[in-house]
Amino acid sequence: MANNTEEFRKELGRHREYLILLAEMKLSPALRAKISSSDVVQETLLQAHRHLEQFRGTTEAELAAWLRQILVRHLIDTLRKFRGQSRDIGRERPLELEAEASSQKLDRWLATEESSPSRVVSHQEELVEVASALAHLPEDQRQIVDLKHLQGWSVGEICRHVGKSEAAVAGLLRRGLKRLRELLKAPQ
Amino acid sequence: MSAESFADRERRLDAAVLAFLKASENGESVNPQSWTDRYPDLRDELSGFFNDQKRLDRLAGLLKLVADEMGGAVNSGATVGWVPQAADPLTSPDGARVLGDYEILEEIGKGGMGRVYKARQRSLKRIVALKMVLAGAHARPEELQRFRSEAEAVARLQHPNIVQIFEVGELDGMPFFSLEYVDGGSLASQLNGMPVPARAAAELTRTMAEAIDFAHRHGIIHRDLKPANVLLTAQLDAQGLARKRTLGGSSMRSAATASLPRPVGAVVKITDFGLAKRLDEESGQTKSGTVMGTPSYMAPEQAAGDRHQVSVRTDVYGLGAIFYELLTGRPPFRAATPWETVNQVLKQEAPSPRLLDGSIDRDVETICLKCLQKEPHRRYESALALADDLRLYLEGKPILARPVPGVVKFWRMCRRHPAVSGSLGFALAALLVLLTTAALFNGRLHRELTQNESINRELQMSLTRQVADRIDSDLRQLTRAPTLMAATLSRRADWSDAQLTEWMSDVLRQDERVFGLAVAMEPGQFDAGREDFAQYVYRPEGRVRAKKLLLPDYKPHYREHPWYAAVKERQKALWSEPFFDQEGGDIPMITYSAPIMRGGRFAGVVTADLSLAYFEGMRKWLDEVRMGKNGYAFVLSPTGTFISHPDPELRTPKKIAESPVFQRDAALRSLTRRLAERETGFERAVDPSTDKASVFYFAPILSAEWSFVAVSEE
Repeated sequence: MANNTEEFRKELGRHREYLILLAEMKLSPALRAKISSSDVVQETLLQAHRHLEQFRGTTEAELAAWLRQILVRHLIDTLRKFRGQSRDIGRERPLELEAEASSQKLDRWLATEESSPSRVVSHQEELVEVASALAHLPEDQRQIVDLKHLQGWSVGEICRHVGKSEAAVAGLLRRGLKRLRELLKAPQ
Repeated sequence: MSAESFADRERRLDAAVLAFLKASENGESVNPQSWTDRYPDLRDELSGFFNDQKRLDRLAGLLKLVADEMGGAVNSGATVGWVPQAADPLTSPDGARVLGDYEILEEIGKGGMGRVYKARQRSLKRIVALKMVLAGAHARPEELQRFRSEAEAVARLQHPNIVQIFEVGELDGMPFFSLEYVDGGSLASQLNGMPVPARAAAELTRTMAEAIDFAHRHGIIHRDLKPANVLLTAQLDAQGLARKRTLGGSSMRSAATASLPRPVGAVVKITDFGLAKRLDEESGQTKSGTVMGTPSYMAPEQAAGDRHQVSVRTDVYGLGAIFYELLTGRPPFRAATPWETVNQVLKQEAPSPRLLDGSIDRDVETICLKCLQKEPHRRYESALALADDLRLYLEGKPILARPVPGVVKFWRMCRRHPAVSGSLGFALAALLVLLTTAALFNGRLHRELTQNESINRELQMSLTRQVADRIDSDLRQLTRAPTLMAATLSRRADWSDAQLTEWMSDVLRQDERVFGLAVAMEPGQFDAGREDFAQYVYRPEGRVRAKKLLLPDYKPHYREHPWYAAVKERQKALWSEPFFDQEGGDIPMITYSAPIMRGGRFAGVVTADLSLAYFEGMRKWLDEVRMGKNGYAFVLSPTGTFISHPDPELRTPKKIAESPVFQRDAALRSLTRRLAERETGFERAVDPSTDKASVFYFAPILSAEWSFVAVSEE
């Protein structure tokens, strides 16, 4: 990884959207409204920056893994503070943090061969790129793409949520995906 | 195209996309290809959309996977560098690490859902293990429920071989319990790849089986029995496990089996009933179909995720898996990935313990394999039945278990050749075991089996893996001497030349497969005054001699030789490529070098020249391995160099990838590529050595990153 601080800072910045996306996937919809993922990620990047001499990896994948760990610590911390403020949040079952024992991950291994960690590692660069491209989509398109492909909502659910017709949602999705492809092709 | 028709086209596109989305959401199986065919004039845009969707779905799946695993990464403590901590849940504002009555001394472990600390209970002035679920915040209700049930279940059990639970409580929303503190580490850390003598293994297993039977009678199934969950009290450590082999030499065997710490019952304690489930409780606590446990020790019914099949016989399997590891130094199933391991657990038979170590008693093997039967009803009906059979064995009486059919046939063959068991040496016995297997296969069985091609393949693959495992086990034994020496030299620096030379000569005498041993060090590491230090002990014509590997006689400087420089660079133990000793003719030699590390820094290497005796022997018996019709076998190094091959032409150091005959068609190129990836599998191709249509079966030899290949004609 970059020895030089400036370069490292830039490298951290590239992961912003990727980390925000992951943070959002960890939060239930109810909590997403109350906790700002981008604040948590900002904190995460600041702390990573302050402690960058502690990073011992050399690859993109190792950097991403390190950042994810710091992010999780911050998420836990934020959620704990949040819980301190409102005692009854426990009833909302807000915490989607899957602190799974490694043994339980097996059913995912069984479910899909995509899950081989090495495959994630080899796609790390692509994940960071797609996350930042998503953030560059026009807001209405981004919302539909996110709900459909990352949250897995149906067209009907999306229509009720955003108050648009089914045809309009299909159009936004199609154009959003097309724009995403163009963004990924264009050099950043 | 006018503006209006563009808008129309867009509308028709959106309608087509919508119809597709609705259809796929309704669970209709929709094929993008046929969908685009319905709208021929929109084909380009639609197929663009489908491609975009496919790619994003793939990435979204990966993202979700990463997100899912994020929580796990925190708990497992697998870090790439130090992770800046959010507030430590156990550090109060004044910095004292105190929790109620307990004073935290150190963290001793992290588990799936919590941490374990060594702590002092102040009121009772005793040391305990304090286990807690971290921060109520990130424990989900299911986890808390599981945690409490673990506490309750264990608290009900009071048995000398089960870790005692003292207190269950909750503090600041964090549940905890305190357990008996056990000092000797786990069986997993104590075994560390080394087998123990069969009698000691049987005693230990019998003790565990009795404790598990006690738990069963109280309605609790452990469900996660493995060496890591078996703790040892300090006594065993003090007396020392009577090791079967100390430095890999077969001569050590007889002496080691004699002394056995008694009573062994005092030393093992089973812990972590985290997945324990009361027999009388039909709670749906574990999601149905969820696979839990460590794959290497997991019973097939668990690996298949069949919750209703889990019974006391699941624990009998677990006890058998621990027994297997005690006997052979390895779990019954072990592959490069957990997924492959699960696959083996479900589909393959564990390699026979006697194939891994010919000195293991047949009764012991029979008992062990009866526990490991795939179908629960073929195992012992209870842990007590297992304990009883082990007792019969230990008392020298006939055991109740009968060998499983395949094994019976096999040993009956061996009995017909009594010379095998009696007068012949261990290596030769092992060779004959292999040959018998091969002969069996070659004869009547082969004819029967070829009638069913898929069974034939499975069996050939299984044999291939067993031979690869056998070589693996041999190699690991071979590397014991240099590995132990390097570990000792890492800890102790106060050697004289004479002491070191004497020690090296002893090691050499104990293991005839080691031809030479070298200890070479960084400047000032042997003693402060000496810049260069390279001691070599070797055995020309059977007599042990010593010399220094220094300029001008030994050129270039020893630190420039690969056996030194490569280990220094990578700071890990390495096998060299096979090479041919100038005097040795066509007998390959190979060196194994282990680094000496002092204070985290590279200080030197211990190198063993392994040659002649061992490799000639291995090559000979490999030359004799005949699997299937006109079969033969060979071994490749990590770079694809033939370490052994019956064809003398290929036996000189040639690489498969550089051998034109192995590149002449697509099937052979595919074979070469898969071997380079160290895959397990088979490939049909025309064998360049025989020009016959053949099948190449291959499996990796894990410890040395070699590949074993068995070839038979179609």
